[in-house]
Amino acid sequence: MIQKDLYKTLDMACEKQIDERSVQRIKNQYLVDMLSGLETNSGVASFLGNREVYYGDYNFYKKEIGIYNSVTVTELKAACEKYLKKENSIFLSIWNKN
Amino acid sequence: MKYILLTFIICANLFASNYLDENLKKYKWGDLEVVWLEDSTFPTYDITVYFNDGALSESSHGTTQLMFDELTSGTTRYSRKEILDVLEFYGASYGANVTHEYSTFSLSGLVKDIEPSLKMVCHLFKSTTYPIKEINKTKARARTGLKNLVNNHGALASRIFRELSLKETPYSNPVGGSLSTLNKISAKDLHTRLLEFNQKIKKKIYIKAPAGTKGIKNIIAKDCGWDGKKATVSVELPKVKKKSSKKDKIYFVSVPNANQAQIRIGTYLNSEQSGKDYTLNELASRYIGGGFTSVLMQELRVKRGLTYSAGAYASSQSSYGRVGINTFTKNETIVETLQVIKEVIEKQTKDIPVESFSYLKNFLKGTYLFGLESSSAFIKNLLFFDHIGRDYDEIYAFPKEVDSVTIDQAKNKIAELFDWSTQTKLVLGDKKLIKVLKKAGYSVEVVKYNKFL
Repeated sequence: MIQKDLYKTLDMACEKQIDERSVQRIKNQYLVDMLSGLETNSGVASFLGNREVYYGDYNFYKKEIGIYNSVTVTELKAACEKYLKKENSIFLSIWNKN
Repeated sequence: MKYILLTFIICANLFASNYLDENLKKYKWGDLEVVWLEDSTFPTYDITVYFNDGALSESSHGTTQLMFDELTSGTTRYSRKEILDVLEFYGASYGANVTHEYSTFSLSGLVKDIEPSLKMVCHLFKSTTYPIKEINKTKARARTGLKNLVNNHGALASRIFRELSLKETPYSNPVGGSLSTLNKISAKDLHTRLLEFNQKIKKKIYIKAPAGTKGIKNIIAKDCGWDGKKATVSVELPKVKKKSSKKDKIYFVSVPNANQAQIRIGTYLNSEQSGKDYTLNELASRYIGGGFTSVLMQELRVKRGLTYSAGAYASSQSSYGRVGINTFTKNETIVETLQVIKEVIEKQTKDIPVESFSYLKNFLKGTYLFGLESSSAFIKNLLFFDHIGRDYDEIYAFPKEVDSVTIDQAKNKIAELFDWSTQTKLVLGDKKLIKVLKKAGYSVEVVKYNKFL
């Protein structure tokens, strides 16, 4: 039952849940998270280190915000439909048999 | 030339300013005190409202906490879903902290979105209606959480220990309330409490944001209606007197399915003790149980394998403080662990090696500064200093203060804070341990955990 509901919600999510407001919400939240992570020396080190490791350039953050800001509703819907598909998923549930 | 240069260096050091000197501004917005840390490093803001009242003055325990927690339950204009949608949209973080002595409400987010976020928070303070349906759901969740505490032995031990160790003071009850007190709290009680906080209780605003961030002053005055003119009430904090001797009595709490015993040992600081020796208290408690190299960790875990972790603390509020040791062990080693803790404390009152004392000082100076890195932590520190009447300059004096502490002072402080005869001792675990503890010579008083839920 839960599995059925979950997949039903997932099916509708890409089409119905992604709109201009929800994309802007994610952009706001991403920016807040990124800036709050930079408040400590440890946070700055992780931030720069991650950019160097994943993108080969610790300066990548200068382009990064622009990339996030340029993401459109259409692009996000396309990515959602590509990855959040029932065929790509594994359903795992852990039960207490009693 | 040499002397001119030397004079210049000395003068430069004398007049060198620090981060606070450069960035801290104090304002009066009407009669409302404002502390503003002007920092343009990031386009973000942190606002914390200090209320000079906490859980101590409430008629039913848990009312103040629930009043803050349910600020988003619904207003005259918006449902809970709509409120959360607005605040989440702007990426705003918010939350309250209630202590017995004072309460705070904090909001943070992006400067570009400060106006709609802050206006929403002001709307919540003015217009939350505490819909009965929402409040009942929250109370039901809180009751379930309390009943489930029996499965979280560490949290249950700490909850019961607070009540028992502070029972001679007015600060013993948990600020979140209990099963019986939560039942008594109605939506009307929450609304009445909110009105008191909004209209009567004295407030102070702490801000960290770029200089000149627009809108805050106007929104606080017009939308929140806080100008400090009428809201002047401060809670009266009763003084806490000297504690009595506990001898070798142990409170024992029996819980089902316990293969480990939780240990809590500690006491309270009276008003006189809590208002002085902040650095010395910190140093003494960290030496006993702050980090992996502390004496308790070394003696209990490294040398004897009696536990995975052990910690000690000494914290001060305005009118009382708490000192304590937390650890746990296997059922089989409960007596040995208690004995080792007692011996470790006694030993430190007589002998502290110079080398480990020096390590501790460096550790303390380093961790203190790292603890002030985030803006919210820094603001909370300023707020707490104001609450307990400490000067902001003490932040910068801390390393020197630490360096000035002598080994004899630390030994005497450990003896004063952790004196075995004044500590309340609690063990939570399997009931078979009652017999074991009695056999070891302890006087055991059995308490039922459900009386503390």
